[in-house]
Amino acid sequence: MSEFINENPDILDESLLPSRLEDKNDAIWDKNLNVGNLQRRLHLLNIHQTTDCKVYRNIELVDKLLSQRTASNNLHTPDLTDAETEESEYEEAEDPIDAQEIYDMIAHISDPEHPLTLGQLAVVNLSDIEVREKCDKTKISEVVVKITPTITHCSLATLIGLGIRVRLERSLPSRYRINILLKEGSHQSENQVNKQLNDKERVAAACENDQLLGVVSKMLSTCK
Amino acid sequence: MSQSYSTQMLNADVISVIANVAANESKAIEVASHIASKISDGELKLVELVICLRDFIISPDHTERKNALCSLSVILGQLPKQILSKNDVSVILDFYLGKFDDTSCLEEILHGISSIIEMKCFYCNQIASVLNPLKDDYQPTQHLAATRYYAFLILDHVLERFQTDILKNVNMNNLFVETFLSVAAGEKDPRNLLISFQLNSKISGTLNEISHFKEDLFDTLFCYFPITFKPPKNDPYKISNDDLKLALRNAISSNVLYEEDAFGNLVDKMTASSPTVKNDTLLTMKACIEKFGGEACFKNWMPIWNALKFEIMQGSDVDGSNAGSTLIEFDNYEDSLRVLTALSAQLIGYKEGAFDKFRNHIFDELKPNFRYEKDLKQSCAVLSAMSKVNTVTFEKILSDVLVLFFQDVNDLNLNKQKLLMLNLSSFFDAYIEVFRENNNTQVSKKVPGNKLAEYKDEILMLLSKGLKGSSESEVTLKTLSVVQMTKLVKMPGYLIEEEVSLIVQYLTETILTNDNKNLYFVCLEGLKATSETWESTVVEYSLDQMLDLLKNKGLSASLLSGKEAINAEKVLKVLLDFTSSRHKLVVESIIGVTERIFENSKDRGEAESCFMLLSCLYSLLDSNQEILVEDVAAKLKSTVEAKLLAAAMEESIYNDDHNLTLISSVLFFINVHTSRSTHQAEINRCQHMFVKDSKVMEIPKRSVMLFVKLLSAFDKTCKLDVENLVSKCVNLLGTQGLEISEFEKLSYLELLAVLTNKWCSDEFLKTVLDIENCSINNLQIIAWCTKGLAMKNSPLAVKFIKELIRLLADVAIGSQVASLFEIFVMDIPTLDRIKGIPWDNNVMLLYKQKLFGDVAPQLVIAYGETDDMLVKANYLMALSYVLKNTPNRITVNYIPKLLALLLQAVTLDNSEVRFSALSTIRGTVEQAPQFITEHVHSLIPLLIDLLRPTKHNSYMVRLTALGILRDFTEHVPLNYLLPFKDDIIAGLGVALDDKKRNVRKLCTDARQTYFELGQVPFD
Repeated sequence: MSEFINENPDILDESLLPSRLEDKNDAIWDKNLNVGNLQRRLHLLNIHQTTDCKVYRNIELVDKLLSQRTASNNLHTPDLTDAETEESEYEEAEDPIDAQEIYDMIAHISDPEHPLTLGQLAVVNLSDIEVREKCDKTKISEVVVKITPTITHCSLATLIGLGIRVRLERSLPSRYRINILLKEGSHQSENQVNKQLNDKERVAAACENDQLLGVVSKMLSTCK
Repeated sequence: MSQSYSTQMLNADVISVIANVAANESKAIEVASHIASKISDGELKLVELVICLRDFIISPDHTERKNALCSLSVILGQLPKQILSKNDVSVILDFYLGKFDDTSCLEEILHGISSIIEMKCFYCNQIASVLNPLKDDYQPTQHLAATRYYAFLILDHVLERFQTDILKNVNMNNLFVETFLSVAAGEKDPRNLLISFQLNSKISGTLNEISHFKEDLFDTLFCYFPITFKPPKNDPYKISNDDLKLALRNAISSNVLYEEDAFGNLVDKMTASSPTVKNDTLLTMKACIEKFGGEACFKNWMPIWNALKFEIMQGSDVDGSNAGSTLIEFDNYEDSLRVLTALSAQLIGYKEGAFDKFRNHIFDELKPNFRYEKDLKQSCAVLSAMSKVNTVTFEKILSDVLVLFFQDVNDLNLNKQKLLMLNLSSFFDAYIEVFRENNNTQVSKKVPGNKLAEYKDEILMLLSKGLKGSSESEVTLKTLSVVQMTKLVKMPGYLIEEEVSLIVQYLTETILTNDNKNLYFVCLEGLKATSETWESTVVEYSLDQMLDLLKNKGLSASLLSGKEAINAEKVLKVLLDFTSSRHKLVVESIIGVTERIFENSKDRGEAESCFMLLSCLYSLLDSNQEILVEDVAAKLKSTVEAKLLAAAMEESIYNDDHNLTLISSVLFFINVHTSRSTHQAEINRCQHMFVKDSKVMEIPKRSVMLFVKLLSAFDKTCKLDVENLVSKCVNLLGTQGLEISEFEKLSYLELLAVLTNKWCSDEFLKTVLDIENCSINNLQIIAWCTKGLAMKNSPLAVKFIKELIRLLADVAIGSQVASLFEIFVMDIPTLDRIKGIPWDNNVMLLYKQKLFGDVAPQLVIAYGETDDMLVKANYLMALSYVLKNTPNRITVNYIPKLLALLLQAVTLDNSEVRFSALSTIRGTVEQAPQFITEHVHSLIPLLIDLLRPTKHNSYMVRLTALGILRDFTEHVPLNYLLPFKDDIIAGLGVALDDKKRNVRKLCTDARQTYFELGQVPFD
């Protein structure tokens, strides 16, 4: 392809792409903290901005020594297991898979013909991603991604779709059904492309093609 | 010929030189200088040498003649300058000149002549005889570069020795210049060009009568402009592109006579498309402007301006857009502006009228830009570049510009405000430049009245309106205002104190109330910059304000200032950020925060706010230790210590584990930096206070924490009744049925560690500790004492550790003993080593390495000797606790022996142990993957198993296991890993559905690397 079909697309700056606000709780992974101590850790983070400072480590150590000593004193029989033996105590807070997470997976895929990512070109948009989660994890959940080609006759829409599909299939648990559609009215041959994108046989066949897979790999190489 | 140097010897030497000149230069020179020394000692006459060489010199063979002449030239080069008589010189010169038509030997001939010219007895009446053949009979293009080099060298030597004679004699002058022009024509070799350029600038710089040669001289120079040269790989002359460029630039700018040609040609070159050429042109133009002086500039400023104007207005890198993308070591935009400044400086130096003409022309041309808001940035840059020469130019330009700026200042929309600020900005920079030299020490000193000062009120209005009058979301405008305000503060003598304090208040308010990151940082920078010169103003109007805000009680929540709520956390954060290492600010903050702690601690409900204040105080001290020199520490001690001690006894601090620890550490910092001479008295006071008055050694008290930290601060050579303290402490902890909280117990154990580390002798410890008593209480005491001992590498520690390892085999208490192993290597802040303070604790640099070297082999052996799984598990736990706190670089060499244990440890039902074992494996993968490679097949299933979300696979276990799997792809050879590729991809599927997002993220990354494993790289 000697000439790009769409030479001058609108470009969003990398820093302006929607992103998840940094969760301060992530920095604190000590699960033995009680509410009061957790609040204090948050105060420390707000004031000092990092867990890598002496005062934070100091407090961490005090908490740890005290909890350890309490734990070892409570144990009467030698036990190799963790302090809390009750199964019910073991409960991690769950971060659900949401649209932002899907967006983060695919927004950094490179466009096949521009040195830019799909997020920067607004081919994928946060608002066009939908996660239909079933509470029961044994049932099939669904992810719908609608892509907007930069121009209505974009011949690479199928390739972009394939790249997104490969990325999602590699990154999502198998209980998700992945649907990739063109956004309504964004392409001249919308139905054909949609059909092609969600045809299992065709996708499988495409993935057998080494050359095509190479192109996809190159697109995925910029993923973060 | 003298006896000592016979003809045979001379013959032998001459043959040796001839043989070597072509092949081994250094050897030839060595023998040549030997012969030369014989001549200078009078043992040999030059004639004899020539006779000796005669046969070779007249030989019909080219090479022989060449080598012989070369030998002669080399020997001449080695002769001292005053040895040859007048007669010798003229004979040998005639000899060489007679040979001039022997073109195959010209290089040697010129070499010889160049040496003769340096002889003392070469006189100026002989110059013509040398120059004439060079001018008439020598065709530079027909000879090699090396030959041409000697021609230049001759000219250089002549000019060096006979400059005054040439100056006196017009004919000689003309002959010399003509010879030079003929010799320099068509030169291409870099070494020769370098000397040619230097000669050219010497000629035009020192000789008088060159005006009718000026065009020829200039042409021999400018035909090389712009010069580029890439030195070959093994360049013997080490000439760089810059050397040539600089030499050419100097030559072009060496004489004002070149003025007309130089400016004309340079302006032409500005139309070049290559940025490198343009840059060279700009720099050369600047050199010319500076050298040629005002009159020449006045004649030529118009075309120069037009050329520059185009570059500045239309130049490619106006926005600095390609500054980031490629590494360009020059900036044509900036350099063009610098040329303008240079031009402006010359013109004002020449006469004011000249500058006015220049200024009026440019200003009239730029004026429409201001009306139509076009190319404003460039226009302002031009004007400011012109203005920053001195106060006169500054005044003149500013009086033109400011009127334009402020004519309709009252109804500005946001965009216009921004533009105006940006426009002013470049003139602020010019101001700083102009007035800096006047008084570079004191910003607050008076500067002469100036135009910008007349508009001070308007400018301040504009900026404060931009900052305060705009809505919260106008971040760009606000940021811009803050940046400009900071510039105003930096401008020498511009603002008076009241104005600075106003700005400080604005900045403080903004930094506290606005949440934008950029704005935060510019305000912070502004405050820091201000405190460099206006420290006390900043203390008064910023620091004190912030400390006042902290006064409002009512927990951690929001504090009210005016209408807006300001978070105490934010105040403290700002406080920490901007005090960094400014002496006065730090000390004032410490005192202020202490005051707040003292006040707040009186209120029971203020534990949370005390915690925040204390953590801030701790960091203030910790991160600014370099300014806590003795007298500062002494001053702090006298102002804050009593208050801190009083506060420590208040309930909100005393009964709070964190707060009491932090306040004790704060006291530690203050005391550790005080003068050693006071320590003994302080120790006595502490003992009195805690042991005698509070009786901490008789009933358990929380205040022992304060005692521990204070003791750890003081000099270890001071006297202390350590035996009494240790035995009382051991007794107290050993008391049956004692009512003691965990915090207290920990504090007493730490006290033991500090005492054994700093004061207690091993002998006494042996008597007081009961190693036979296996109650866990007693073992804890021993463990903590062992820590103190281990840190000073005491042999007693080895003994105790051995005992504890033995106890690991005890099924009843083994697991509890195992957890004690963590204590040995854990970093306890109380036993930290403070930089620059040798007297505080005994911390041997390599104690962990020694400890690990002692413990690990014993554990491995014991592990191998038992079959009981429970006991084995105890060893694993102990090992993992030690590993967890020992840096990887220490453990990595021992890993091969430990690996079997580690593989078992990751299957133990304890998440801590699993995590610690995994961390060690991960460190090994990174640092010494060769140890891991052969275990990959057994590790992979284990690691995949650890990804399952079970009770013992905690978040960190899963994350670390994933990290190891991903790191394999970087460190393990492909042929080991490829067979597992599909298994791993399938196995990783579990973690794709992990509850924690970070685990999923890492898993996606890891999986992606395995998908690409072994794939042929695309394109």
